[in-house]
Amino acid sequence: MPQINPNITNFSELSFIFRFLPIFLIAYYVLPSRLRPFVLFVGSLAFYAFGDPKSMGIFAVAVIVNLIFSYRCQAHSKPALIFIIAADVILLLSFKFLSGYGKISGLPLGISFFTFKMVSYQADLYKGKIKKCPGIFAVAAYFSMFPQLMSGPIMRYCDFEKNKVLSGTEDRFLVFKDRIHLHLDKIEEGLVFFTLGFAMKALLADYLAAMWNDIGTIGYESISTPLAWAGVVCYSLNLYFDFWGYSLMAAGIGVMLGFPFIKNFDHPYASKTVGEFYRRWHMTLGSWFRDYVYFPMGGSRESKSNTIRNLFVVWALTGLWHGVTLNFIVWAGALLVMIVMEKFVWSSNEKLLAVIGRINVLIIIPITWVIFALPVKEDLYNYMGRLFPVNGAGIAVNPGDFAKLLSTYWGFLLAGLMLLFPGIYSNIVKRRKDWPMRVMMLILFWVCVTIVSTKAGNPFMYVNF
Amino acid sequence: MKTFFQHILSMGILVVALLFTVDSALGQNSAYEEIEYDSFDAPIMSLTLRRIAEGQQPYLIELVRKNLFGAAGDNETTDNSENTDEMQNTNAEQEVTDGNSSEAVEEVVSSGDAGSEVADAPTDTAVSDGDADSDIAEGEPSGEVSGGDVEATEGDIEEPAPEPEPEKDNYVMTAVPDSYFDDALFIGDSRTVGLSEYCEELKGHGTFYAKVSLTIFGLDDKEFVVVPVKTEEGTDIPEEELPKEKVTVEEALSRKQFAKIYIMLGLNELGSRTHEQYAEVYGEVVNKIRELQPDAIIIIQGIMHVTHSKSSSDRVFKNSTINDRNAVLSTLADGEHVFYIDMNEATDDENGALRQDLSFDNVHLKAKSYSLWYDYLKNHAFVKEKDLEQTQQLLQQEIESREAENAENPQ
Repeated sequence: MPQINPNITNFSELSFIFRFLPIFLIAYYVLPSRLRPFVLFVGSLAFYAFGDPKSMGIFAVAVIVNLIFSYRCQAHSKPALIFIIAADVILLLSFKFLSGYGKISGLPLGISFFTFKMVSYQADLYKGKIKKCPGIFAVAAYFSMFPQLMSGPIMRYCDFEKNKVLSGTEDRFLVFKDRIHLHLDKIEEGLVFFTLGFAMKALLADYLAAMWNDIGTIGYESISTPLAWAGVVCYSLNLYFDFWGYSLMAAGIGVMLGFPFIKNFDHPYASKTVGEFYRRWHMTLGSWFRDYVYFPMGGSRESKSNTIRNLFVVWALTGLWHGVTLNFIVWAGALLVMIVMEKFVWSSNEKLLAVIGRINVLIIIPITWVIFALPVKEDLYNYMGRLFPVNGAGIAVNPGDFAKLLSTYWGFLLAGLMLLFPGIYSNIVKRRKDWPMRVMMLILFWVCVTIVSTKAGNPFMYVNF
Repeated sequence: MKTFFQHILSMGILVVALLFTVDSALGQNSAYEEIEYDSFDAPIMSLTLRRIAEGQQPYLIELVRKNLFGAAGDNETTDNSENTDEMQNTNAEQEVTDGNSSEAVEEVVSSGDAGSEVADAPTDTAVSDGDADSDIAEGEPSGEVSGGDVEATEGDIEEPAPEPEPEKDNYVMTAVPDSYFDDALFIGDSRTVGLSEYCEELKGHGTFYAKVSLTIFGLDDKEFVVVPVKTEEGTDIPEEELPKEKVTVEEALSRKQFAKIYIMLGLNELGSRTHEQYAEVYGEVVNKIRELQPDAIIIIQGIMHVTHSKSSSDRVFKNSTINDRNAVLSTLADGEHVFYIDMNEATDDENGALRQDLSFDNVHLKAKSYSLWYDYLKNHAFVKEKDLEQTQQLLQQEIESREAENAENPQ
């Protein structure tokens, strides 16, 4: 039996771009339109099987159980809703704890995301937000759809429903020529976003990750203080472009299949406060917590103490969702403190809030990412010790490390910092229908593919120690 | 057609992908034969892509150029050099760049004094060898035949000037003071670079000719060692005031003498050639260094292990392979001037792998861990039997002065 490369599930791998994706697109668009939900479901199952065959069973059971309970939720049965939500949350949390404490190696593929989709789907059904009972394959396809399976975005069912290509209503009665044209329009539009995300990943995030890795290679106890600060910038940019790039690729694939573009990042570093930052960073996760945790608890409509309690719950859960180790709790706690202070203390003085808000977004949040990045307590302690060298000078520090790493990576840091300004990206997106911009995208795409090609299936890429 | 241009991005990707696939498929058994490729990992077009990533032309474009402008090909030495470059990048063992070989030719022409010619000769031979290798593999006529001839005659002239063998001394292994490394040279890859950057004790003592991704095949063609330019005999400008230039390790060794030469190379070579071929080249390098540095002892260091997690998950970097290579390396030692040491015992865990807590990336030591390596070198050094007593006295003094220092500034 031929083996399948698990990298096929990585959007920036050639195996995905030139093997899985085209085959899937052909099946999706060439087979009769009424089969599309089925094709999407089967394709996504195949995708899951390539990526994490061992967890297929868990995933399949979760889909089936949720399908069964969805009928009871639609009938507004509160016990059924409570049961299924509890089951989904317990499923997620138990795996988080098992892997967080090293009992299993790694989580089942996409579990953080498909369980959240399931919870929102059941709650929307219960609240009557989903009018018509969707077909089994449509719901199964919604839970499992491969563009969002691994790391989101967490699309709502109401957006899933908007896909007129999936349901076939948009092109069912078109003549062949017009239909082809429509399909190509969708693919073309999706490819623009895919290429932008691909470029962020391949041209920025991967190199910033290499720099972050170089810092780790030195050892956090031995980096100079300037390098520790450069590392804060480096990791923050790496995380941002890695995740934003991934989200753009995922959303772009969604667009290729006829879904609306799902925005997951909206220039968070241009925010004026931490609260705003988290409305513009990983937006589908933030709005999920808002709609399914914060608002149902009363949001900020009631007393000050209730608002603080609700924020506390949201951020405790956000921390847990990211991981169960101590650093995620510290990370979420720091953010909670900043948000509560903004809401109730600094807000009394507009000018003060403006200054402190920017400092929080541009300096404190990057530091919180380092907390986020280092699950091992000693690492975090060592890193903070080098960032703020109050307790001595570190071990075997080479003051030249900053200049050395910067001489290699300064271009990537600079490009990343430039892209923090919203203008560049939004201009590209605005002009994406223009012919020259498309040609630029085409070139960008092939540049990225060429760079990625040196890493795939090339044993000699190792020759760099 | 209108549809085509309205969807230029999708169509462009499709058309280019097809072209690259055709190019890769056609060139698979000829131009791309040397590229290590597994269809499991990536689509076949990655052959073409990787060639482009190395700054080369795809197979078909090259074919067209050759057929249409075939006559012009002779003048286009750049074309030739590109090919050689590419060979170097894809196959680490054939690390011969054209630019460097022409550089070497220039050196031969310019070097007037007999003393330095002895040094140059082996370099040149090696370079021309390398060219021949890659030309055969490439299946193309070489444009550098004349260059090769010149080198060959140079080599002949130099043959009858062998260095007299230095008198024999017995070396013994012992612990040494820091000053032992004042006249020591370290040749190595990124790991030795790390030693130079993060070993406090070696700062101001040892000299380092180390570079990331250096291999045993690269000592005669990678120009990275910064040395003062060569002066004509008789000029006595102090060394520090001379302008600097970048030369190969071999060239640098021909200009400055050391007493101890440490080598640790072999990690980047793990994926290429057999153990025997590797050891053969290593042996040649050792012999060449012996010629260039007749008074120096050469200490071959066994390749440092990688961590267990790396070794058990990687296709290339396995500790079993490292152990095999170290075993053949150890046979190169003669116990007279060439010695073999294995620092792994200072950094190994119970699996015979690099201790996980010493490394972040599973390959390199963390900054603070380099002292383990250094301590090993310090305790496993070689001195002449007659100097043993003096060395031990110096070491004793060093220990005493350190103790005194610690007593003065208790931490």
